[in-house]
Amino acid sequence: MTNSSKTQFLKDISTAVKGRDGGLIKAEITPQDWAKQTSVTREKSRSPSANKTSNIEKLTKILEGQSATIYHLESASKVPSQIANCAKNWAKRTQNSNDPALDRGEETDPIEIAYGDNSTLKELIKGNEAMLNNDTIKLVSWPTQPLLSEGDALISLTIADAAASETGTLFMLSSNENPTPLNFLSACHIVLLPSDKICETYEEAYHSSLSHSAKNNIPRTINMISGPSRTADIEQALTLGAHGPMELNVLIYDEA
Amino acid sequence: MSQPHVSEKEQLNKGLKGRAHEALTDANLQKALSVIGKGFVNKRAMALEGCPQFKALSDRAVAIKRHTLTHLEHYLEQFEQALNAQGGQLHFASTPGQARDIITQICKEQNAKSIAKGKTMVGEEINLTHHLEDEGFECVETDLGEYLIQLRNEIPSHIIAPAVHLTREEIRDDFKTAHKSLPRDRELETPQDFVKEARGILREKFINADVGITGANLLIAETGSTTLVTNEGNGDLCSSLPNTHIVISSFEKLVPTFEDASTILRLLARSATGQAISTYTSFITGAKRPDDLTGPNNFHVVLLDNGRSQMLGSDFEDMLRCIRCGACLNHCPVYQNIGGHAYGSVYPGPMGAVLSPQFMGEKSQDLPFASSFCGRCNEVCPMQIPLTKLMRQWRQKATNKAGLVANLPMHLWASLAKRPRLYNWAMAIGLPMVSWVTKQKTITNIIPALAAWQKHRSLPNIEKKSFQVQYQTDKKNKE
Ligand code: SF4
Repeated sequence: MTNSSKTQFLKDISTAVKGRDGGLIKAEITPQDWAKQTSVTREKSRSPSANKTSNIEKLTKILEGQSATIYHLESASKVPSQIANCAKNWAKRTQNSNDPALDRGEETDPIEIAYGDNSTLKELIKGNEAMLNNDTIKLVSWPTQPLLSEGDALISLTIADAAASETGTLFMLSSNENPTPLNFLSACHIVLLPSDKICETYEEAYHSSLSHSAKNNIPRTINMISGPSRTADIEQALTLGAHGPMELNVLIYDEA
Repeated sequence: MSQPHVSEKEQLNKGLKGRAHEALTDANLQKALSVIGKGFVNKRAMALEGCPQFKALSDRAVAIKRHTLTHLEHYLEQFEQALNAQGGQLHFASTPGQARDIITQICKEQNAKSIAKGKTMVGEEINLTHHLEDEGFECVETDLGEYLIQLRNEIPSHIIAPAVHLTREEIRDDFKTAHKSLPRDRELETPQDFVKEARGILREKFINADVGITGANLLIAETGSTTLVTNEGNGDLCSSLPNTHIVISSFEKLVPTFEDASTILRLLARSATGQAISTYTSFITGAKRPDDLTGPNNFHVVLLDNGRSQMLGSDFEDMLRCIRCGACLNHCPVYQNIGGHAYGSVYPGPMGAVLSPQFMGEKSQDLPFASSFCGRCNEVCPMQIPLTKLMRQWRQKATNKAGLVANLPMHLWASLAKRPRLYNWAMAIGLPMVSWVTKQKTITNIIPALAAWQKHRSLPNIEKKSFQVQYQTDKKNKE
């Protein structure tokens, strides 16, 4: 805001800091040394030991414990049919729901799946477009009015940029291909996760995802997602689907 | 909507004692509080069991905060530069009034009508929502717990579970009163019913909001990122749908790098809810990028001081490590019995007893007295803050101020203790008397002041002979 409030703010801090015990300050390393130490550990997390199988197992176990559903697909070619299955299952589960938020209108309307204009996804469903664009299922691209007005398109589809097995956490970087609201607005979220992107720690996942992002530049939003949305605000009872997805489906596959 | 059910001022006037007494006799509150032990305490214990490196992480986290606070000016500078490079703007507010003005100004510049707000304790500290409502904006709390207490015009009773004091019955009444467009006879039984209803109502608010306001759990200097931790995902809708996003936070949330943030995140949820990590952790850096389809065009971070800088360089600097996990509340026998509102401050429990006198001054000077000094808070604090020591220091300050009258019993005791013969003589006469008095069923007739105290616990029987006398006799018998 105004420069004067900044000056006052910083002055208050520097005055207080001057009152510090000089010995304590000397004992503390400099910011430059801190950065150096960090760059050493950072290098290590950039080249993690490849523990692929155990990472996949751990991620699956933990995410399932956090109420997500995991599908291991034999190959990338199975992705379109599994997306369709998830969508149909969701429609079936919510068919008789009296919840207005889940009302898709006419039963005969196709189930809409919202997605970003994602080139990887387009590549994945190439040749199988009909599976996701027919009388019962329809892919719609963000930003779509129905999803915004809490109505029809209750399913969203995004691709994870990385995952950390330590707590079953997906990393989603925002871009024109992966708009952030798709991670939160839908009732049922389907995430595609190439098995090569599964790391162990947050640091590994963070740096590997950034290395793929455009110009190595940090995106506006990085979402770490570890299950469907939840709340315990009503008498501490765990309830899913507070504002974000009630259901999180993760499709793990080997990239061709 | 600007006056709370029981106005804050009224609450403060009752004093800590008055409020605590009310809390102890409030059956609904006692029922609600009884779940804390089963919930948070057990879940935290389990989470720590599953994380053998917890202690090492905690040591590292303490070192990170110490380092950052020592070089605060450097990291503030770095944060601002990185933030500016991504199209964000940093604002400095020394006082709550300045912070409110800055935010009001931004909203006015945007011609905003409606604001969707996520949970922020700094926002609570400056009474932001009420202020924005008074300024004529529609300001809706979107965290479910915050929404529940907004409907009742109350302040949070817990820093991570603001509505932990409410029962289903109370929430049902509030929903039926507030959501008039829904059929009066609809079913509101299970937690699911409530959550679905709120989801539907609030969805519209997110989509129509001109401004989103959230807090930040951490600020990362290297990248200029703000970190947002939630389980519901409401904060992420506040931060990604409206055209303007404002983050209100404070400087002690700074850490140097993502690696440092990760260390603290590994402690936060485990200590708070007993989860290994909260469902959503988001790193938000600046405004929307040119080719993003969605995201705010305007991004502001407001940093509040409000007395924090005075803690730097003093013993209270330790308190600036606090990550607001709530573990010290959950494990505090006083908090478990009286709940958050009795503290009369947005920060309750042991952490509140240390912070509130700093932020609110005289008004909350009695808070450090709401402790039994059992020390559980020190043990469970992931940031190793010596809470009881700091509470004692506040007590000391308050007592020094109160002067000789309040200190008289202590002075008497001290002068006795310094004279062993006099002390033994006084004990020999005094103890049998006290012992007799405490064994009387009608003790409250003799000492009426004990009536309130005895309602919730029983007075221990006091031995006729002092420890010293017993020890000496015992020693002689053995010889
Ligand atoms: S004082 Fe410690 S235990 Fe209490 S909220 Fe802060 S970090 Fe958590």
